Amino acid sequence: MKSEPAPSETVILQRLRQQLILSQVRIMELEDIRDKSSGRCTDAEKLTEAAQCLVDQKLEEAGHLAKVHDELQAQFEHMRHMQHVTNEALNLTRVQLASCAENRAQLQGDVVLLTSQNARLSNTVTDLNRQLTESNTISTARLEQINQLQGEIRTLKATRSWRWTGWLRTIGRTLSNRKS
Amino acid sequence: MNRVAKDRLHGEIETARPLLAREGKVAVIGWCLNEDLPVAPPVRLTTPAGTLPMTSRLDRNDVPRLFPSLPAAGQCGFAIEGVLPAGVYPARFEAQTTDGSWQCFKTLSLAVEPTPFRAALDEPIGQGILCDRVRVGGWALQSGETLSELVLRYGHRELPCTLLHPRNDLPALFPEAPNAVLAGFESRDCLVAGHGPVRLRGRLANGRIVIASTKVIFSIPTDENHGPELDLTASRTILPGGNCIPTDTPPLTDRPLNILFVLHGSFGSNSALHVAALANELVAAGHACAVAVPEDIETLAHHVRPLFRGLTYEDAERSLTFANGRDPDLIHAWTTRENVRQLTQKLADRHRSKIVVHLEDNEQEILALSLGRNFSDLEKLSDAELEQLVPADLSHPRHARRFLAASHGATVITDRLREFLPPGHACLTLSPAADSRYFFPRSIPREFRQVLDVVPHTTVLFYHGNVHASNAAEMRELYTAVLQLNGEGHPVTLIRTGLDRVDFLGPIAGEVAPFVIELGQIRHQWHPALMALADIFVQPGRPDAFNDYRFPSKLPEFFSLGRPVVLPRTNLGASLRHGIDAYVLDQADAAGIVRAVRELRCDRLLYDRLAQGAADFAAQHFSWRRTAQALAKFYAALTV
Repeated sequence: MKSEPAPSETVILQRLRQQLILSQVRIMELEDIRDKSSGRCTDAEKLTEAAQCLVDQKLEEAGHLAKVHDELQAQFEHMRHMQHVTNEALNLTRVQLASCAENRAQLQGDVVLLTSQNARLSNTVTDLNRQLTESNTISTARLEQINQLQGEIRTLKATRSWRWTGWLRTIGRTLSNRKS
Repeated sequence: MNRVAKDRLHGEIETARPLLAREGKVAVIGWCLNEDLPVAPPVRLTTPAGTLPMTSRLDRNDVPRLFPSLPAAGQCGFAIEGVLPAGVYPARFEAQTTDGSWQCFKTLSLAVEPTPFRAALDEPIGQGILCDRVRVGGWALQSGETLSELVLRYGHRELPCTLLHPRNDLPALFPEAPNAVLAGFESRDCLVAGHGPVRLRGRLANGRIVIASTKVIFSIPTDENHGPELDLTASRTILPGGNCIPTDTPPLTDRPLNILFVLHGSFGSNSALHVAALANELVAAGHACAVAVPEDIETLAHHVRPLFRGLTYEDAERSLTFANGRDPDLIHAWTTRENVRQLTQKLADRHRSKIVVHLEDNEQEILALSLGRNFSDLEKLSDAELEQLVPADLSHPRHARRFLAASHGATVITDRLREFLPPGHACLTLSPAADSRYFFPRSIPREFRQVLDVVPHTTVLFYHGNVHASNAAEMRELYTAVLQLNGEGHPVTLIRTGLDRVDFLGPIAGEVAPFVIELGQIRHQWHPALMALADIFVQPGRPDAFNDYRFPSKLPEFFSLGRPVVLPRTNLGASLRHGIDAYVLDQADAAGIVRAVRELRCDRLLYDRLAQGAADFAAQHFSWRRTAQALAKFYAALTV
């Protein structure tokens, strides 16, 4: 360890002074790098902050849009439900309509049938009316005849001969009852 | 509802995204077509901070292929250039429509950097090398801000300048900067000796420092205080040795475990070096490791590329799940200190993990030394008294015993610590090592030593580590030895890193100070380069209740560097061969250290033999890889 020749104290001090100065150079360079980097960091932090604000703003907007979307979705779901309900009602109505149409056709058939029956019955009624009229006419004639005959009977019975021959008719009735 | 008819626009922005206006200058190119117009429409950029019009029209050969029916396609390119204030904005690119209104065809975000500090020297030269001792001048401008101070920096020099000199040429160059007209400056004095590129360093009114490079180099060789014998253009002597050796990957385990280490101190502690080395090796072998510290999680940065996860006790208590979604299989409590014990027991109960306790010191002796009482006296205290007396960072004698007894296994740093374990307890001796990436035989950087050694034939000693109550007495012996050697005409410099937790030097502090270079606490990976400066490593101390039960973590590092190691015949020293592996002293006190250093300085053969012996011993005995493999086997046996 003592093999190397010792440099003089002046040389050592000069070397030390030089290296201290060079170290100071490096320290100042590093200070500049540090301060420059620090400034850049501050700038970057500010940009990050601004970016974060922008992101926050967009997130808020996105949140609002999501809310609107949810509301629209709810409305859509409601509308879809309503559509479903309406469709169900429509289908039911369609079924009912089909059934009504069937009924109507059947009723129409019935109507036709009834119309024809009606026509037939009308004819019958007409015939009967006519017959009735004829019967009424005949009946009226017969009634007049009856009235006339009843008048004649009353006249006959009012006669003295009818009244004086009454007892003969009673005997005649009694005898006929015994025989039977 | 009225619907406004929109023009049929096509367009794209082709500037690289995300859009960034460097130094405040916006420059964007793109193309835009309006199907409803016979010519390409005017384009503009609108932001909340301002609007920039199109600055030029660009021909396009590619767009007509996309829109062959549109005659304007060939001239639809555009460029927008301008200046905007710093910030991040939504940028709307709009084109003019048939009715004269503006319609957006693209929206992007735009980040605008602030305008930089601009400055230049132009008096007497604007570029080149200036060797004359004259006054210099130029201009310095920070748009929208006022400079309160400006200095010129070159070499080791800093020259103040006077500000607010009129510059009628600048407003035309910087129309956006109203303060340009008074941006001139001049150096207060003539240049003095110094060599180097010139920077202008300003302080703004808001306190911010701004720096601008120039194209000028000042090279003033001499002045009143610097003679010609001092070469200011010489190169600085640099301390070499920041290199590291990459390590290979160990074989992967077929039964990976989740392991939590619980440390009693921060990642800056010596214990953390051991835990980090083991955890890194275990992770490399396929295990998952986390390391919990009571505080100072930021000290994790002291470790280079840690493979494990670092967390605080609080984090661990809140949530402790590993990457595979499982709980810890095993918790390795690093010592029986109260904070470690309490957390370990809490977590082990919660996660049903196995517990392994590591012993690295005679905790009883540390407790006694820290409290300034005999351990036998402490043993006699009641539970309540002990409870009050023992702080969280020390071991409670009774709790520690129960903790060890209840653990599934233990690891010890040295076999003597097995005395503290219950008989038959599963135990593994963890041989510490040095980080082989950084600690390997390094030659002495002679050039740097020539600068460091202010006295010829100086011997450099190196010691890294804190001074605390437990080692204060032996550290005083080391400093006394340094003082004594220098007093006897043997120049010795002690390079020291670490903090002094106690005042251990007393009256010799002033005397020894010129021979000690105190570097304070520095990152562990920077130690090897400094350690390479040393001729000899000294571990002071003597066999006693503290040293017999410890393994100083710096010893493997001393040996790995390949220098003679002087140490006492205790712990590792008890198993070393004096004169072959190391210089082993019965007591490494001041007298012993002086004797050892003197002998090593005089006997070159002995010096070389011990340097080689140290390197050989390190290669043979210190390997974190081997230690971690043994530990993994131990874990595996406990977790079957």
